[in-house]
Amino acid sequence: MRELLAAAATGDPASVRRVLARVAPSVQRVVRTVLGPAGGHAEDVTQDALLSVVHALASFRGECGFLHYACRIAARVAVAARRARAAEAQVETLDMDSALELPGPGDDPEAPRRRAVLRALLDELPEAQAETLVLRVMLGYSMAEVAEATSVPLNTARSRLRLAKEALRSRIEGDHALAEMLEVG
Amino acid sequence: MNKLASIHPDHLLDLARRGTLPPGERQRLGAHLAVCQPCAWEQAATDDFERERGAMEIDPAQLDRLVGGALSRWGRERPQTPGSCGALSRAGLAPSPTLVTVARPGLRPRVQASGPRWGLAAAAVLAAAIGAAMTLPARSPLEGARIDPPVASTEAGLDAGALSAGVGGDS
Repeated sequence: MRELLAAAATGDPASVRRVLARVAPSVQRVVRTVLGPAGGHAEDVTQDALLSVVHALASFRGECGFLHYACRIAARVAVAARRARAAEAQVETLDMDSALELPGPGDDPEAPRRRAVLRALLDELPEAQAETLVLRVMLGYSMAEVAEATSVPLNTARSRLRLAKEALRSRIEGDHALAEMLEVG
Repeated sequence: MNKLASIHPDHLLDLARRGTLPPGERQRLGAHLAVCQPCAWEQAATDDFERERGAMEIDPAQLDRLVGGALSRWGRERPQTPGSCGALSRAGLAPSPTLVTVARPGLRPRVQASGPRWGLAAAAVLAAAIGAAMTLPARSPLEGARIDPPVASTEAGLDAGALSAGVGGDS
């Protein structure tokens, strides 16, 4: 993989294509996870994310796995796209997402609402916190992996997550239906 | 907010996710989750998202199309150096002939004036200055001048003026 990445970083089109083919499934999953069911533009955003991965090839220093690197890029692109769409639509994204979320196989009945709350929170948090929340909660990274993927010390990653959780706490406390749901669930 | 809820034991949540949480710590994590809504939410939501990702269907044909689209865009935006152009052509990704130039805001194109032009311009300015000096003392400053009625100034007008002054001043 290292040789392939080195060749891709020099701009060799065949190598770039092979790298993209390898990371594309994960990139698409990240994009769809972040955008949620309301993300009708997931294909466009996935393509944007893949192009961003190509742009970032030369900057890859091997400090983390390339797949993590690509997923992180995809997460950033998807969060930015989400925010842009929310700003454009000027609607409460929580309602938009909740209306479209459906429980999947084996899902807790409250799972769609929980996912919608997390996604809507991404539109409000500062970028670094939103990225941390995506990696940690949506993609299931450990704190060490989050720190590695975002190239920050572990304590910085923890601090970002703590702030994101405080925002989540405020959101829950400010919404009786959510608070009630959490108690029931 | 009590102290138990204010310190989030992320490392315990990590261990619980991996299924390696020691029994003693399980009790500690349970006590925290009972009083900390965000952590309880995080734990439940992480499972929710994992299930959702697992159930996502990936269409290989669609992925191929997306990869191809990204590569085409990359090919179009690459600089047209002889080496890269050839490589892209071989891969069927030759950039379009459109030359895209990116303008950096705040920077104006540098105009390189040739020597004779500068000389002519300087001579014209000098001649105009001498002419004005010879005629001004004999006339009133307002004599023969046309005074336009006042025009209500607007922000747009001011901006337009500033813009044109800036452009003109640079030429």
